[in-house]
Amino acid sequence: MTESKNKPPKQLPLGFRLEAERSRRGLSITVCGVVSIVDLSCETVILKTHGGKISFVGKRLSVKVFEHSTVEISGKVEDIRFDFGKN
Amino acid sequence: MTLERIDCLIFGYRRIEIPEADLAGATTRLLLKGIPIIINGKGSFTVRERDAEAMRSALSGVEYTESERLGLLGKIKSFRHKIALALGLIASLMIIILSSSIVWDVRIEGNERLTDAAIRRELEECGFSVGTSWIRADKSEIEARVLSDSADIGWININRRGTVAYVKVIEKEIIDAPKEDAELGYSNIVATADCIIEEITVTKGQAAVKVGDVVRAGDVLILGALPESSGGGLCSADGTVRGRVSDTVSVEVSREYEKKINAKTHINEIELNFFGFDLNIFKNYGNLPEDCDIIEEIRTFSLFGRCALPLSLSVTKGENYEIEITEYTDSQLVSVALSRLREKTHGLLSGCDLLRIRTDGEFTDSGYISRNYLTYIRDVGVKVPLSSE
Repeated sequence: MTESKNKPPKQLPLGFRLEAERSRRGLSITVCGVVSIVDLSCETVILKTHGGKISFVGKRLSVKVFEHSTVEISGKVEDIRFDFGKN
Repeated sequence: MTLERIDCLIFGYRRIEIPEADLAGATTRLLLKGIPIIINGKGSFTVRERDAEAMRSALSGVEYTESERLGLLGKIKSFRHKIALALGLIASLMIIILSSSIVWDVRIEGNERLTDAAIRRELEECGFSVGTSWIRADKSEIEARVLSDSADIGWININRRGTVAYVKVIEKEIIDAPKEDAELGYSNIVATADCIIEEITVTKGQAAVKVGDVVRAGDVLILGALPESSGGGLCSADGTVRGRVSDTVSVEVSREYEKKINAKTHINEIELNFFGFDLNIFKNYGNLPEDCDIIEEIRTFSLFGRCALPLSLSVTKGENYEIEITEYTDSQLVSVALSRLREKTHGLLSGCDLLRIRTDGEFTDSGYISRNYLTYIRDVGVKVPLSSE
């Protein structure tokens, strides 16, 4: 018997998860499903996720990287922008 | 998230310096490998010591600077060649712990008759003294042993404050055994004053008077003889007899009296007591004049009126005085006489029931006499041994 050649395509995880809460430094945002970190500075953090690009703009931003593709951004976040579907 | 930092501090971490342009790429690599990092600022991040090896392999080909191992374990590791220092720290810690578990001083409180040395000897015989380990000493057992072994200590309590043992004791009271009526093998109870019998209670013997009888001093009140129904014979009479007594108390006060006039006060000695040690600050050597009152003032100090400080100041002063003969005025004379009469009457009426009191007074050539006419009820019986005559 031969194996079926038509395997179903590997399902890629879609989207991302974002949680935010007030913290001592301003805002603490946890993003799950991060694929890569595009840009990193005290004023701008740009993340690429499965669902698209997310940009965080603010002041005194700090970043922590955790396991399972999780990133935490904390600081005075002033603007969050989503670019859906763009790589 | 603070736990992350505590984890780093305790188990160690490394600080990585990387060019800013490569930071995003490097962190992406670490993100994909699942290596947690904390980005500190421009071109710098912190990685846990246990993830350092994985970080090195993830960042192969990237230029970065890695610090030495930081955090508590890192510091400890840096002392690995300084064994003597570590041993010294451990040894000193052990000495501090062990020395605080030993009794360094025993302080005795509450003793009046017994000396401190005698009490310390009793404690030593029961296994408690300077040098005893607090951990091994069973205070309850030691207290119980002291109470059972000592003939003089009625109560004892051992308290620990730091390395000092505070031992509080209450001594047994010595009560003189009542004198047996050896020489009063047999006795009567007789009246001590002229009175009218108000109450009579016989516990042994036979009543010779009854309520309402008028008796004179010396009359037998309770006979030291057992009733025929009890077999007869002599005994030591026992009981209480209370009688109504009339009495007069008088006081005479002379108009002239000596008045002390303080002429001069001078400080003789100043002493400071600090933690039980006397420190002499000033002393005036020399004989004091005869007509001089010596007054010692001791001043103690406390913290906000609550906690007494182990500090006191003693000032001894000599007050020279002169004697001046002066006279009371009439009103002063009466006031002094009444005051003294009140004191004298109070002493007399102690333990009595006062029924009536009348006061009068009169001026005399030399002063003033004040009198109290009293009627009161008191115990009037006293034991008198039967004579063989």
